[in-house]
Amino acid sequence: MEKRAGRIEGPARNERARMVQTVIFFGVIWTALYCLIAFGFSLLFGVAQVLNLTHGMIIMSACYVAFLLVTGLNWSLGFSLIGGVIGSVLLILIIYLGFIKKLLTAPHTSMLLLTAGLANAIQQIVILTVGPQNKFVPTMITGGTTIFSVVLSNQQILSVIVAFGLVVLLVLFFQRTRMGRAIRAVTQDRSTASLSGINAEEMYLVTIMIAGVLAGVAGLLIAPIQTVTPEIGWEMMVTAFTVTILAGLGGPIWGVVVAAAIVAYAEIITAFLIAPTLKEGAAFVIMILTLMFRPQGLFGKGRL
Amino acid sequence: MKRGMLTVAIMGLGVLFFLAAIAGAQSAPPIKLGVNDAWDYPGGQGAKRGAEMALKAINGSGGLLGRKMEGIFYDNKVDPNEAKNATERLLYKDKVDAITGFWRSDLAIVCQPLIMEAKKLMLIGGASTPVVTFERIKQDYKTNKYTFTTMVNTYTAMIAYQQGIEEGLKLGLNKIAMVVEKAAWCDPLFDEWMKKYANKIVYSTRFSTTATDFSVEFAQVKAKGADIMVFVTTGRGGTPSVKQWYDMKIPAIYVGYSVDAQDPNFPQVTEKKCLGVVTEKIGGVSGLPITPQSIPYFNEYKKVYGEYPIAYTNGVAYDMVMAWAHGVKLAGSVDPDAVVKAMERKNFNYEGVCGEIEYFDEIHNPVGGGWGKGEPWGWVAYQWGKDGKPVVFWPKKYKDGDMVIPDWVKEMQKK
Amino acid sequence: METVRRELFSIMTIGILSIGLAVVAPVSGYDFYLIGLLTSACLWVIYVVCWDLLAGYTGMLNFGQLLFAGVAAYTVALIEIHLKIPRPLTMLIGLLAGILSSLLIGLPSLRVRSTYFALVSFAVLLVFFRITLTFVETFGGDYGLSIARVFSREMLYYTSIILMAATLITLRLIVKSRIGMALQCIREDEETARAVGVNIQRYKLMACLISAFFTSLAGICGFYYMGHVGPEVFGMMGSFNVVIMGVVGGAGTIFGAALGAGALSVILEFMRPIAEYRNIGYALLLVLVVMMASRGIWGSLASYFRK
Repeated sequence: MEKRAGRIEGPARNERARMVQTVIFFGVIWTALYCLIAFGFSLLFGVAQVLNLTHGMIIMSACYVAFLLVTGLNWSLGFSLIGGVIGSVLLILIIYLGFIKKLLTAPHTSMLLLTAGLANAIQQIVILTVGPQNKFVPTMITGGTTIFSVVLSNQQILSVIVAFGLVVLLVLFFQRTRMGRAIRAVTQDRSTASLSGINAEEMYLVTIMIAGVLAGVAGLLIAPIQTVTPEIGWEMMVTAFTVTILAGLGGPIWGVVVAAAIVAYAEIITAFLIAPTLKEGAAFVIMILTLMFRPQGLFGKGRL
Repeated sequence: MKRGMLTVAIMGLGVLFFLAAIAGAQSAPPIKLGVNDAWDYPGGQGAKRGAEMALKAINGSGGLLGRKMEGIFYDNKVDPNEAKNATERLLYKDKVDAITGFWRSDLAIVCQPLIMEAKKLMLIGGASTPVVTFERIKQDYKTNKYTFTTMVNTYTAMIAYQQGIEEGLKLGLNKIAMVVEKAAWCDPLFDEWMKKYANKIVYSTRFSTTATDFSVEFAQVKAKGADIMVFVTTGRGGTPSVKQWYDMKIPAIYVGYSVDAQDPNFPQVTEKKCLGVVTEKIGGVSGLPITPQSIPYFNEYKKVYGEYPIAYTNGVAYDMVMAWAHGVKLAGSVDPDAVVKAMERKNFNYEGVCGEIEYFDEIHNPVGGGWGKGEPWGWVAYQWGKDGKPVVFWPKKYKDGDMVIPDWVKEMQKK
Repeated sequence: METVRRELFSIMTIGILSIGLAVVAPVSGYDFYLIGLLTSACLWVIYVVCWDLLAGYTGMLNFGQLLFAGVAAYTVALIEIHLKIPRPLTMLIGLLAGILSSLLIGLPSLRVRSTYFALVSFAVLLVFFRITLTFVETFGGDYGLSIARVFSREMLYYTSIILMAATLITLRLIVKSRIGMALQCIREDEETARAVGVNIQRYKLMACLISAFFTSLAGICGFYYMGHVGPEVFGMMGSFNVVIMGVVGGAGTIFGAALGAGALSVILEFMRPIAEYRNIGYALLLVLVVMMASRGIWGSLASYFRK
C-alpha cells in the first residue's frame, strides 16, 4: 500500500520541483531584462532628477531603427544593432537638448507632462510612418541551452550576461573613472561641483548619452525574445518606472537589481499562483504601495 | 505687402473651393459609403483597405447604378465614444447610404442601434460577436434587418478554429493543453472546447490579451506532458508565443488561432520559428486560389499598398462592400429596404474574393462555395510549411496538403 | 453669499451660454449628430473643470480623472443589468460609488507630494483597467456592458447642459471663496499653509469629493448617452486627454479649463477627416503649451489683457 502511494506521489513531486526550477530560472531572466530596461531611466532620474517618460519610446526606437536597417537597407546584423543604439542615443539627445533642458528648472509636474506628451508623439509618429504591424529584431545568438531540465534560449542567457556585465561596468565607471566621479559630484551638489572646475552641463550630456546607450542595448536584447510593436514603448516605461521608484532615488546600482528581482518574481508568482491575467497588475500594485508607503524607495537617499 | 499677399491667397483658395463645389454639384450625386474603423491596428487597417479596394473596383468599372461612389473614412481609435460620434456624423452630417468597418465586436455592438435607427445598411467587416446577428436579428428582425456581415459569428467560426485540434487527434496525439486569452469573444470558444475535449485536456489556462511572455504557461504545458497545444489570441502575443514555443522546445504541436500567424511575413518576423504552426485565415486573402478573383486581388493589393494582405478583415470587408454593391444592382436602387430584399434572395449568387455567396442565411451570414450553411464561410485552416509557405488542410475543397507534426516536435516527443 | 454677489457676472454668463446651447437643438432641427457632439462636449467640460479643481487649484495633478466617472458608470451599468430597482436609486448608488472611489486617490494624496500623486493616480486608474479586463464575467471584459437606450437624446442633451452649468457655477463659487483660497495655499506651499492654520487633510479630501461628485454624475450621464461602458473609460487615453485639455485651456482658472475642453472636443471633431493626425496633434499641443505657455490659452490671454 505504502509503495503504491509513494509511486503516485513521485511524478507529481517531480513536476512541482520542475515548476519551481522554471519559476526560479525565468525569474532570473526577467530580473536581468527589467534591469536593462530600468538602468537608463534610473540613471537620469538619479543624476539629473529628471523623470523622463520618453525612456520607453527610446528603447522602442532602437528596435525600429535596427529593424529598418536590417530589412530596408539590408545591413548585416552587427551593423544594424550598432545603428539601433546610435538611433536611440540620437533620439535622447534631441529630446534632451530640444525639450528637457529648457524645463530643468520648472516643477517636476511640468517635466512629467512634457515627456508624456513627447512619448505619445513619438508613438504616433512610429504608427504613422512604419505602421502598426508586428516587426522584429533578429536574434543574436540562436539555439537554446538546457539547465536542470529547463530550456532557456541562448538569447535570454545573453541578456542575463549583458545585464550583469553592465552592472559591473557601471559601478566601475562611477567609482573608478574620473568622469564617473565628476558626474557623482554634480549629482551631489551642482554648484560646488562647478566650483571645482567640473562642467555640469557636459556631465549631464555624458549622462544622457549613457542613458541612451543603455536604453538601446536593452531594446535590442529584449526584442528578439518578444516582438516589436508600437505598444512596447509604454509597456517598458511602466516597468522601468516601477523598478526605479522601488529602488529609490540616489541609491546604488545594485539597488536597481534588487528592485528588478522583486518586480520580476512578484509577476511570475502572481501568474503562477493567483491568475495569469493579473500578472501585469502586480507591477502597478507594487508602484502604488511604494509611492504611498515608502516614496524614497528601498535604497533611496532623498525624495523628489 | 505680406498682408496683401495673404488676402490674395485666401481669395484664391476661396475661388478654388467655389469652383470645386460647383464642379461637384454638376454630376449626379455620388453614392456614399461610410467607413468606420481603427486605422492604428492591423485588423482595422485591413478593413479600411478592403473598403478602399472595393471603391476602386466599383468606380473603375463605371460606378454603381451609373453613379460614382464616394467613401468617407473615419478613424475610431478602438474607442466606443469615438465610434459613436463617427457613426452619427456619417449618418446625419455626411448622409451616407451605408456604413462599413467594425472590425471590433464591442464597436459593432455599440454602433448597431444607431445605424438601425436610421434604417441604413450596416456592413460588418470583421466583428464576430453573435450579438449583432444571432441575437439581435433573431429577436427583432424588423429593426435589425439592415445588418449584414461576411464574417461569421464566433460559434460558427469555431468550427474552423478547431480543425487543428481535430487533425492532431487524427494523427494520434491525445493530450491537449488549452492556452487561451481571456477576452469576451473567445469565452464561448473556450467553454465549448473544454466540454468537447474534456477527457483529453491535461492543462488549461487563460492569459491577458496584452501578455507577451508565456514562459510560465509553456513550462506548465511541457510539465503536464501535453502533445497538442491550443493557443488562441487576437492580441500581440501571437509572435512572441511562437518564438518562445520554439526556443523552449515544447514537445507539442501549436494549433489554435492567432492573428499574428496570418501575416504573410510571419516566417520572416519569427525567423522561421513558426514552421509547423497552425492558424486559420480567410483563404481569399492568403494567396490561395479560392475563386478566380482571389489571386488577381492578392496581387493588385500588393501593387497598391506595397505588401500582401495581412489581416483577414481585408478580404471580409472587401467582399462585404462588393456584395452590397451587387445587392444594389439587383435592387436597382440604394433604397435600404429594397437592397435588403435583394440581398436576402436565395439566388443572390455573388462571386467574391473569399468565396461565392450563394445566399445570406436568416441571420445574414454568408453561405456558398466550399462552405455550407452553418459553416465558417471564407475560412481555411493552414499550417506553415517547410518552405515558409502556408499549406491548407481544411476545408476539403481547397485542401493542398496534410497537417504534419514538425520534425523537431517529433524529436522532443520521443524523449 | 458675498461671493455670489461678486460672481454674479460669471453666473449670468454661464446661464446665458447654457440657454444658448439648449436652443441649438430645436433650431438645428434636432440634428442627431450635432446634439450628440454637444452632449459629449458638455461632459468633457465637466471632467476637465473638475480636474482643474484638483490640479489647477489644489496642486494635485490627477492623471486618472475618469476613474470616478468609470466607477459610477460601471456601478449603474451593473445595477441596470442585474437588479430591478427604481432608476433614481440606481443613479444615487452610482454616485456614491464614484464619490467613494475618490478616496482611493484622496487618501494617498495626503501622504505624497504632487509628482508622486500624479503617478499614483495613474497607477490606480490602470489597476481598475486590469480588473475590468480580468473579471470578464462580471464586467464584460473588453466588450464592456451595454443596455438598450433608456432616455431620449434630447433629454440627455438638456441634462448634460444643466449639469455642466451647475458644475461651472458651483466650482466657480468655490474657487472664488475662502475654500478656493485655502486650496491655492495648499498648492503653493503645504508647509506654510499648515503654519497659517489651514487643515490640509480636510481641504484636500473636500476637493476630491467635490471633483468626484460632478465627475460621477457626468459619468452616469455619459453611460446613459452611450448605452455602454467599457474598460476604455479606465484607459490612459481618456484621462490623459483630460489633462491635455486642462493644461492647454489653462489650469488654475475654471473657465480656462472649460474653454480647453469645449474647444478641443468641438474643433477637433471638425478635423475628423484627418483623425489619424489627431493624437499626434494633441501630443504636440501639450508639449508646446508646457514649454511655452504654461498658463494655457486662457491664462496667457488673461495676462496679456491685464498688461
